[in-house]
Amino acid sequence: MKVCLDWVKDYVNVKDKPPMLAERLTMRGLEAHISVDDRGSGLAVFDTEVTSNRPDWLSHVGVAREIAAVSGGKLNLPGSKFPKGKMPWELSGETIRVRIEDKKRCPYYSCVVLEGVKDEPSPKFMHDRLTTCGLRPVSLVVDVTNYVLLELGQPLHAFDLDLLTEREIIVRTARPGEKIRAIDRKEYALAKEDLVIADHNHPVAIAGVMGGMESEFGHKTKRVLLESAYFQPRTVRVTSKRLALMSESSYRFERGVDPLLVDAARDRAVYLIAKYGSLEKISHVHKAGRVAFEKRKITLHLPDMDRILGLKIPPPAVRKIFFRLGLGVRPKTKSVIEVTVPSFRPDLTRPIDLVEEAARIYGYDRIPETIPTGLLPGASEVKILEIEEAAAQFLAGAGYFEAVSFSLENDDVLRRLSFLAADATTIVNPQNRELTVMRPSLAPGLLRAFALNADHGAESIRLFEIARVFGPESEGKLPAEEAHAAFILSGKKDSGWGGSNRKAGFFDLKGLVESFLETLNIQTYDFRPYSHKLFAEGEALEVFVGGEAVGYFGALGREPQAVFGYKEGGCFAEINLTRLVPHCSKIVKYVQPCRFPSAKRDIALIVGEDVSSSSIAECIKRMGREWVRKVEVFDVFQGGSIPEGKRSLAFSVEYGSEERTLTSEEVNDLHRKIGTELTNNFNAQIR
Amino acid sequence: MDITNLIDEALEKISRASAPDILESVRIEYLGRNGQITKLLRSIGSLPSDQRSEAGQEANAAREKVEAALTEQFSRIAHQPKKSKIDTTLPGIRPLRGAFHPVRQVIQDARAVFRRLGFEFVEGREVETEFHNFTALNIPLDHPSRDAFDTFYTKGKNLLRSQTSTVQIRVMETRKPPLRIIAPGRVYRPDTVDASHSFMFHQIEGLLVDDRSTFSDLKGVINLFLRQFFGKNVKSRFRPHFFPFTEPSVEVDMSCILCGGKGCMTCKRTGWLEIMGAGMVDPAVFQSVGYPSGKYRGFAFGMGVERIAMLRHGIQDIRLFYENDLNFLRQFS
Repeated sequence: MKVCLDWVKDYVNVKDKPPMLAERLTMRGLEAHISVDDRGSGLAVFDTEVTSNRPDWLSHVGVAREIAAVSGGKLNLPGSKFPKGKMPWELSGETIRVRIEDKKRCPYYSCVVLEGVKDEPSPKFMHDRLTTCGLRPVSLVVDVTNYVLLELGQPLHAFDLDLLTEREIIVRTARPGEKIRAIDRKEYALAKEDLVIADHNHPVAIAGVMGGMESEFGHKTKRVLLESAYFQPRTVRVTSKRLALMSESSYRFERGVDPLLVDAARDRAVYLIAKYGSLEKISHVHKAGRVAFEKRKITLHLPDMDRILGLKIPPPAVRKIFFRLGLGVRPKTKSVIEVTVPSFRPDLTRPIDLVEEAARIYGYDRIPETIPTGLLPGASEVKILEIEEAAAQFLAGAGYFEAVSFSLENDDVLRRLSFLAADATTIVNPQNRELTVMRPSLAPGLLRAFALNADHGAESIRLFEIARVFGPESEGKLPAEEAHAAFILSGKKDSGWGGSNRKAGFFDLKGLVESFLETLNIQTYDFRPYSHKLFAEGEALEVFVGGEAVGYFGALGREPQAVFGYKEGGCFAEINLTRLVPHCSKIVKYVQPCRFPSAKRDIALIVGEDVSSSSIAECIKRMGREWVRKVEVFDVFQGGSIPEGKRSLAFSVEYGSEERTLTSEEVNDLHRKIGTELTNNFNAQIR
Repeated sequence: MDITNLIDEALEKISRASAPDILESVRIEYLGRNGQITKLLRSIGSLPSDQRSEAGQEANAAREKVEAALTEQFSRIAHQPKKSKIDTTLPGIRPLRGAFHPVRQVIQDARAVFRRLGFEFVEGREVETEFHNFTALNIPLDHPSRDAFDTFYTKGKNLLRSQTSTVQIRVMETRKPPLRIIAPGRVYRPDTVDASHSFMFHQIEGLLVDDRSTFSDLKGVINLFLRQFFGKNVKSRFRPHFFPFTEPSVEVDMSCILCGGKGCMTCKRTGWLEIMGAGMVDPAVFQSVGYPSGKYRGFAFGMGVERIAMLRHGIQDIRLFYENDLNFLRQFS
């Protein structure tokens, strides 16, 4: 809100210079900045940011009250009484029947008829102040309603009495199909929960939000119906939100206007109109309902306050603070006080609210710094977070850069990659229409990043992301959330000029997945063939741990390339970390290394290309029983001297026994037997 | 061959040897297992006994002479400044090295500080219920205080958490004090995206609950964090504020780390940077998780991770965090 310092000075003596005052208010919770007064009126103006708990700060009197509390000045409230016997008007005989149909939404409504008003300009000070505060001066009557709104915080409305049908005001909810054209010239369709002010026939104002255009004050207006009422904050908020219609009035009503202001503000407006303009007659006040306010008393135990703050504020200081804030203070005992809350402080309902008030005005800067002395919690950290951490460490160490992409994904992309479930968790009010689904996979995000970097000319791309993915959702149930790690790889295997220049591919990724799992202390896992739109057919594997599918990896296929439009593909892996949790053991069990030396023998075989290397390795292990310690592939070769349809696989076999050193004859003998078995089993030819 | 010629020939070759490996081959040629001098020495045994002694002395002398020459030549060439065989100016071949995202780096560094104070890392949900995101945090329905936490809703009538304070509720629902937790994570608000706003960003939430903590403890912990995280010269100020779930509530400013508090563009010439929101846990929050009234006290705080990363690294545009351009990410390794 714009606060005019010159205006505030009408109600309180301001000792501080504007920058000092802004600082003082800011440090007491009313954030104030000096704004440049670009309208040339030469008045100092503050921009204040008012928190939603302090509707009383949305008026100049409210700010003046705060200044009085902060710096100790005396508060002079604006008057609305002419000296006795000098009332410049006569009594109008006009009567208005006021009826409230919904007392909950509108507990109190009042109005008064003003006759003989004119379309005339406001006095200069009022004109300037309104302009400075960002409101456009129109005509005295309207300007006075705005002036009082900014002065006291009570919204008012002036109807042209002659444009209302019958002398009737009904405060009711809207009827089916009712519409109103508001003074912003727009038409609003009303719903049954909207509170309206209606005349005999139809709504003439959206209660607390905006008046209607039809009965608007204009240059022909001679007689005015001036409304001052209290509307329930919630009803104003619901309507204002639903209609997407905000006004100075709705802004205040939804935060809660001081209920005792209804009469005072109405009187003040009448006074200002009479003082600065033409006003011939004024009616009695017509009203319905009654002011909804009960005085609240709160008992505060000062030692409790000191315990919460970690600081003892002397009781006289506490009492003085409350008094200056306009609260009623009655000491009950030495350490207990009873505080009466005035109508303009709806936020004060509990002792803790008073603790804050005392601390706020006393100064947070006077509260010392200490270190908590309470007991330490016993529970340990959540395991999934440790796993995420270890996964990130491993991947960054392996040359991968961490990406962060949006959790919301494009449903079309998901559909094309066959990730979209019918009941996927979907946003109903998306900020970006492209991004509506809570992603069930990290693949689209990483692929997008991959495409972007490829487009920027990056040659080797290694990226990873660790984030939540989301399961399907049914009404009233929360979707499953699991942590995934995904990584994508393309380009050269090595860095720099000394490497092999070989392109990284499937087996680099496979090795990475294996190391990744082992880093997380998962020693047993297996891979099975996998088929998915993401991957090239026959070039993907699914990862199983403890019999449960925990992820997949492979060479990217044509569909992602078509979706994201990159030129050259890569490899992608995605692992569900949440599902790994029960399988990750943190403590490694030590195994005594074998005391007897091992002997290495190589064997190269030419086999049909459909014979898998793992089946040969398993055969070797089976044959060698406890004498084979390790089998490793060290060369794979195809073409050249190898016949069409065949390939050469070379294995290095490590022999050894737990009981003694094997003789070379024993090793050779076994090695030969294995060779024969392989020849027979796989139709292999030993090279 | 005549032994004198043999020696001369050997000495000639030794003197011409310019590198240790050449010298070594000369040594093998004469003194190796099948070297000429070795053979000569071996053949002495087959000589008639009267010639053996003389021939033996001659051959041994030859061997000593050649060995001495070898040693001498070796030390000569070994101490010669030799011409390098590799171009040492070629760039080093580096092992591959990736990096954490700057968001993770902030979270980790913050965690390290809070760990020393006995705080543990916990996680919460991202898709949440209205209860956990609002009601339990004392943010009533249809209340203007909700405006600050504008929210995405899902088809299934859930929502995306708009602040990590939801984790406070999740933890307190399942555990009894004492609690000291730090919860980092993603939050979502339907803001229009620009250089300083994103509809998704990260927060770090902290909560301490026990039977004796005070507002002064809150100040102590936050100041300790700011000094350990940003440097010991950082100053702070605690401004009263309003959050529905804390009372008293405070907004914490720290002295601008870019201008040292003198006033610059980043701190809008105020010398201060808004860094976190905090406060004593509102009794209504304890009530909503079923803690007995008046038994516990605590404080909570929350801060924006991207904002801290932007200040730390001088990043002007929040959108860079989610583009995943390697030219950006590589700078944080």
